[in-house]
Amino acid sequence: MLFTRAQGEDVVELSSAATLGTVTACTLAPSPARISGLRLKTRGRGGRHMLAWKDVESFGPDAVTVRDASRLRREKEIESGQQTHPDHDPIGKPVLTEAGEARGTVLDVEFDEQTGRVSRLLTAEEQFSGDDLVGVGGYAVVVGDTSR
Amino acid sequence: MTTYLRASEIIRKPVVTLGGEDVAQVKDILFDASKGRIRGFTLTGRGLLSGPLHRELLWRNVHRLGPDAVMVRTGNALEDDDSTAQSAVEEPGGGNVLGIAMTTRSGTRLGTITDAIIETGATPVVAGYELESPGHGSVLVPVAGPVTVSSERVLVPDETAEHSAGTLESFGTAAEGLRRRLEQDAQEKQED
Amino acid sequence: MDWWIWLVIVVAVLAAAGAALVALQARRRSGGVIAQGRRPRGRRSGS
Repeated sequence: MLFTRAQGEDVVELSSAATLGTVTACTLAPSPARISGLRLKTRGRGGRHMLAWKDVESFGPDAVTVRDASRLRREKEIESGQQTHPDHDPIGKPVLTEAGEARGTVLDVEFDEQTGRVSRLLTAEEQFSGDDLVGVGGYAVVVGDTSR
Repeated sequence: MTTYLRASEIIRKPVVTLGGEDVAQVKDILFDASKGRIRGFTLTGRGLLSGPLHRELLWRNVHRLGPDAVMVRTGNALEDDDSTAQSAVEEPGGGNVLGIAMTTRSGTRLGTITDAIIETGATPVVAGYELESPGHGSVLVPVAGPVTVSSERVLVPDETAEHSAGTLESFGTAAEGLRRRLEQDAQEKQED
Repeated sequence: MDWWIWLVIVVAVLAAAGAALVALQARRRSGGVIAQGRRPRGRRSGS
């Protein structure tokens, strides 16, 4: 599934069937490349929250379900060293190879809804295998030095 | 394959960790005056208002030097003090080569240095300079053989002037030409 | 004097201070290629 297709999906609490918010973005972790968390826009809960991937009950085509609202964490409370910190959001960041060469901007991420594993990172001109992901930080998405 | 980069392309480039964080930005390129080897970089912060960082990046801590970023493994690659860099700036016989003159050993002024050409690789070196010379405009001049650097000028062998290049693409050929020429001259001297 | 003259003076002073700040910051951040080494006389090994 492409992440841009998942953007805007409702996040539903299983205990109450209520909508807690909508998916806006994700965070990635490398080796193996996977989605570490989902960034949500929440209504009436004071802005932005983060949902760790391990707390996702299921990732459906129309909604993401979560056991209860206590699994959500405020983005502001997440420290910079953590995997779900907003710095690890890849979309819109430049791709840099390990050799220091810029290779476009990440537009989309292809992932498996069951496991969260990232298979490909997409830019306007290229795609990078999830296996080549080295790191995602506040400045760039770093990939292994795969020669063109 | 040998790749040449202009120093001005490296200055102000971000220093990025493999984790994707930009930890600093290149300020100065430090090189060994006698061998031309790149020793490392002094740094500034990444913010618009941030000034020089009192940390330096030694070459042995650089993961890769690329056209768009200087890659390091982690933020720990930056040295905590820049005492070596500071002493170099103040040392006699050292200093910034940008803006000083290049003169041949027989006393001809070839021009003013506007940029340095860096040969990248496992041990990068200053392989030449870009000169602004009156009458010839901008030329790329390789360095080889006995090169002496002072705070006022870079002294090069007379043969240097005959092996300049117009573009970075043809610079490699010019550098190779000068190297061969100097080797030949040295052999002839031995035979005499 | 007219009141707006003071306005012009204040704006001019602020603009000058801003320009000076930008120039200072550019100089603090501008880089160079720095030769190091105690023995400025030396040979560069041909590689």
